[in-house]
Amino acid sequence: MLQLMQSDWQRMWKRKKTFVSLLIFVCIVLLDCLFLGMQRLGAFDNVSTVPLTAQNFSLFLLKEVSFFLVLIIGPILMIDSFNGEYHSGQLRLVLIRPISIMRMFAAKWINLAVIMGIFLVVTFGIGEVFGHLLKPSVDTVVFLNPDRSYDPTGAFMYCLQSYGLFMLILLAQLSVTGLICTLLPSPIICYLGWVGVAVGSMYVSNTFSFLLFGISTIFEWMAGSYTHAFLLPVFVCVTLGFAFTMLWWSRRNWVR
Amino acid sequence: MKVLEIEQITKKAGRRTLVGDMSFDIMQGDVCGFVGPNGAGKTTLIRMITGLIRPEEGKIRIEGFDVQRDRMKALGQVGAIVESPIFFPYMSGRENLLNLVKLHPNISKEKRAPRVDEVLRIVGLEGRGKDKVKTYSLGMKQRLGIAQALLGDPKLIILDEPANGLDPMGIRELRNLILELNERHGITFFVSSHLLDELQRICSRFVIIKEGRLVWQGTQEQWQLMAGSRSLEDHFVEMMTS
Repeated sequence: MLQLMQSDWQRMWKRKKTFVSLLIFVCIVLLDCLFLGMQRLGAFDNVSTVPLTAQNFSLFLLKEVSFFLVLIIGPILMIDSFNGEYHSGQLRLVLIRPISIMRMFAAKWINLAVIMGIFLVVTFGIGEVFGHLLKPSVDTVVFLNPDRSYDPTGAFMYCLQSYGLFMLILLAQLSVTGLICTLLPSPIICYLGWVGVAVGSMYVSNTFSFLLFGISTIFEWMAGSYTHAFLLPVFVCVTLGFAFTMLWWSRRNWVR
Repeated sequence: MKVLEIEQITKKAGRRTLVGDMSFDIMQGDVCGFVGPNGAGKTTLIRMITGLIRPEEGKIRIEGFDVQRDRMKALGQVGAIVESPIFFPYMSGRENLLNLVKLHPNISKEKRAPRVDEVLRIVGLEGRGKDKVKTYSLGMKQRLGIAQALLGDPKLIILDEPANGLDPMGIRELRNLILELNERHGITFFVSSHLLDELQRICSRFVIIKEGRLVWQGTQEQWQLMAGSRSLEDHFVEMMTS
């Protein structure tokens, strides 16, 4: 399993797409930091705002970059790994080796999860540093729920927890994208498929709005005002998507 | 000793039978030509042998290991180029092999780099190993394809149309490489090709298929006896049109 992960990890980082994505992402995070540095207020939605401080800076930074991560960087890297290699015929080189195909899928899933984790750690790290450089530190801070205030440590934990929840949403996206990439033939169609699923799921039920509006969901859930189930559907997406795709991979015909 | 056993293999796509009730064996040390017209089912069978697709019926064993049941053990005995030799173009030839050698559990961490250098030397690419694969000619890609097939020290190497697109020099190099690997290293080869002349020069046995069915199998001497005064090509065309 470790060898499978190492092999896939090496290929992933050798592809220009991955490195360029990280570079572009860091640039966007830095630009968003400068943008937030010029703002006095941070907005949770169209109505609720709070003063931007060193303690809540990283949370609003996540809000700024979340769409980019969910709609551009995340799908590009996931589809490239799950579908791009297969579509180009390169995965055949791996599939004809004495390996377990189920483990190969698991290795790809774990590697992509780690990369998504890296993107979030980079965002959080830059957010904390720039927050303390550009904004004043305060003794108490409130977030979306005005009745709850937090000291600097509590605010740090609040932001960290929000990032953790966003990571769970990215894992749900990873599993769903894995399934889409297994069912649909080409990378471009897979991307359209992902956008279709993310948008279309909202028409099915608001429960799945986290796939597209993850950060709003997290804001409300952390404030205790989210009215739908959150963690259960996220875990359902993560586990069912993962298990179903893994099973499919072990039984499918690899015709490319 | 049987290296490859194909036992009553059937593969269908909808109602169409791609490979039907096919059975034959390849013995150790054979260089076996796998011949048939376009669409006869050669690549489909090769994909089944390498575990890429599943047969509806029948069994495929490599060195006694069932490809479906003991996939890892069976595929540990085989190296292959399936269709065209595609690599990771963003890596050098050596990096490609270093990446793939990690997937062979029979090669320890310390032995990976020496094994890669050894197979690069065997196929004569040691001087170009550090160059990106996208700069390779088709002949070099074929040789790199054989290098990747050699990584796991296989008993059997399967080559699917290896001479496609090669110039006469490239074809000669490939032929010499196959014969050398067969004679020096005792590797069994199963080579699909349209080029009967070329196969005649290297193959001791032939398996001939048409429309997914086995038409004939035997040694080159047996085929020549059967063809009589006709060339093998003429006899092959006769078999395909009758």
